[in-house]
Amino acid sequence: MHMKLRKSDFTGTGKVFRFTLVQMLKGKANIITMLIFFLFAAGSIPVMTLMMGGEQSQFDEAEASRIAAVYVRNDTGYELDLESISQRDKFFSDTNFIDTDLMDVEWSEDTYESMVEPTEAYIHLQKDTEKMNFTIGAYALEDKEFTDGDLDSCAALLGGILDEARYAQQNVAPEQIAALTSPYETKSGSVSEYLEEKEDDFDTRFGVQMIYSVALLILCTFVSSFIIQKVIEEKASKLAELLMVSVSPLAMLVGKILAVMTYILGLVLSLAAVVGLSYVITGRFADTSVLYRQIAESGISMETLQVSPVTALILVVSLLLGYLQVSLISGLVGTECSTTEDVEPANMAVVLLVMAGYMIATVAAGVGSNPVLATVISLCPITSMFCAPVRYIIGDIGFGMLALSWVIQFAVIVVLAYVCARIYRALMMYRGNRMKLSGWITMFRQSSAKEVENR
Amino acid sequence: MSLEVRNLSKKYGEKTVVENLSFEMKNPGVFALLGTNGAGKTTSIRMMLNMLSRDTGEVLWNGAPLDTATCNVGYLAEERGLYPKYTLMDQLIYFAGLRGIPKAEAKKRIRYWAERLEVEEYLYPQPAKKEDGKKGRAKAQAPKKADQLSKGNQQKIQFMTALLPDPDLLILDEPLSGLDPVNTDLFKGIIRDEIAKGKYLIMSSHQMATVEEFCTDIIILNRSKVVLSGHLNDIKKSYGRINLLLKTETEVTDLIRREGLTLVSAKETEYQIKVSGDEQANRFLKLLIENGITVVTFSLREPSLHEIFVEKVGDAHEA
Repeated sequence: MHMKLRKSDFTGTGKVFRFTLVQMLKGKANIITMLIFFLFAAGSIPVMTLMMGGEQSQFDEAEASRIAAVYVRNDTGYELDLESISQRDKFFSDTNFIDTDLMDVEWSEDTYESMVEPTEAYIHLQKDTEKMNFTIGAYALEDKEFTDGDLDSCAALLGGILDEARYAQQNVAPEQIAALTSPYETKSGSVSEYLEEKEDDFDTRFGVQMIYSVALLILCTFVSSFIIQKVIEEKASKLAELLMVSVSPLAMLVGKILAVMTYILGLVLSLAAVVGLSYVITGRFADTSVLYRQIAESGISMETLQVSPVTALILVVSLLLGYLQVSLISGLVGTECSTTEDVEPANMAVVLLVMAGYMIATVAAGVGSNPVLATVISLCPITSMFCAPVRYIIGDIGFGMLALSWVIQFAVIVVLAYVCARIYRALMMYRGNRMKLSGWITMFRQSSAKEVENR
Repeated sequence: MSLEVRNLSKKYGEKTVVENLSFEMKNPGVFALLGTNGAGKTTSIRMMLNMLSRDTGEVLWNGAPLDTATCNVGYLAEERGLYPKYTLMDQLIYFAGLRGIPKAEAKKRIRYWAERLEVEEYLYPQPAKKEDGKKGRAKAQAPKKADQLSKGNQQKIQFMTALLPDPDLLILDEPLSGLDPVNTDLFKGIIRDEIAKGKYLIMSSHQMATVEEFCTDIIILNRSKVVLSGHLNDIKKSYGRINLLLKTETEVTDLIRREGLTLVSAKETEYQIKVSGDEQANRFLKLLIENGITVVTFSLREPSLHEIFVEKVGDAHEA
């Protein structure tokens, strides 16, 4: 196949781009949609924070624990620095830690029942000299006015202070104490997993694939609808003929695709900015870290996503290639429509195609790590835009395979552009029922034959 | 400057829609592309403007293939359209921009044509008018969008888009259809001005009187084929003076029949008669005088374009 595109085929692209973009920004429906999106974006962070219990932490962080007083009975023999607790942990800055040894009270179950208020707790630290272990018991009334978490945190805090007291008694320096008491994480798994040095985490794999696929699916569906509407605009307004005197159909298509891309990219960036702003503002009043914790619980972390400038670039290139494929298909499908009534079925055709890619990507993610499957779905057009970058990021395929996938996707774009160049002009003048694939092929053949004749 | 159309042909499958269309415009003026509905006029124009691929033929402007790079073309399409929801000014600036006209210059030209076509009120914000008896501040009227305009006013805006590039070649497909008499005169005035400026015009129309008013050369298409082409005056001359308008003081129907003439119409003592030529007309005049008939009007004229058109395509059309 010989592709014979001339520079003049693209003359006027910039003007079509500017006009389309400006009119999209001026459109009342678009302005209302944008406002609704911005409203949702701005409200999403505070709402999610509240739903995930961020307000409780916010209360705690701002006003500290609701435990007003903790009676500490220390039977370990080590001297605990109870006075420094408020400086060590802000959460207990307003809690009064009372050493029961300094009280003239015989502590028993009865006295405990009579003395401890619903806002107070009782902690008993004991040492079993025979077994050489310690017990820390934290108790509160049934109708206590604080959470179990508060009580657990309080016990854990005193456990830490006990450890430090034990090290201090052995003349260990503060830096050494810090090193000895630093937190650690435990992991367990099978030997094969340990030997593979890679955790085959189904949840993570599925989660990452889902996030990327859903994002791309939304983008493609959104884009397809926008492009079809923009492409049909001239035909529905009976303007195609007038415009084709001044600008080539290909320049019109490219200008519109770029305008929609810029609009959507601008919208996404603006929404991201609004979400960021909302996050900062919400953070002043609530504990937004619950959002991170929630995501982490689903198995997705910054480490899994390998967030870096390189992965960001990979995602941008992949999204761009996916966008261009869907845009060109939408442009072609849109141009075969003659009226606005044709838009919905035309859009449905594109959405179904994209959905097929999405479904395959999702099902494949559920299958698990399979090198053959990963290679096939990363190279096959339509599925590759969903799968290739994710598979690369989670380590199923190497960069070479990703690059090959990009090359194939780029080739698909070139072929689509070639088809557009061939039949887009004729499609612009076409009126009637939506064309079948056979009609396209006939149109393409006639166009090719004419080019041969013209030579 | 010159325009040359050579052997344009187009087929859709087995159906021929234009067959070997050729004509030439060596001088400025108006060329009429006539034909019945579906004869191939619009398809020919679309092929000339490279909107449709052609099976054979070429279109040359000053010897080079015609396109917007070689020729400044203005086009009023048969299929009238504007973006319904965008402001007219935005659209006009956009259309002008696509033709390489800078925004400032486009605004100047739009102002000029808006005045000529009497559409300023739709393009520019109108000062506030307070209605009698209504309280509060009156609102200024915003510029209109296309769907707020009448069909005639939309047509004026579309005509403007064709004129904005100040084209050398102006192609008008049914320019006067749907216009009221006042706006028809407005359009005609502009067309006359363009002719006076030395522009090349190609006009497709069903209004034969209008075509006759402006056109120097014509081509008539019937079912994709050229059935008549040439200089309008020459064509008329070739038909001869065969239309006789007669007005007498007394009834002469019997004399007309006796002479074997075709009576086209009669209204009291005013007759429209078909004659074979000057000779038969003179003989008939002599007969009238010999019979003592007082002749009030005896006018012999060539056939109108309408009559030529009907004669050329009428039978086939009816069939």
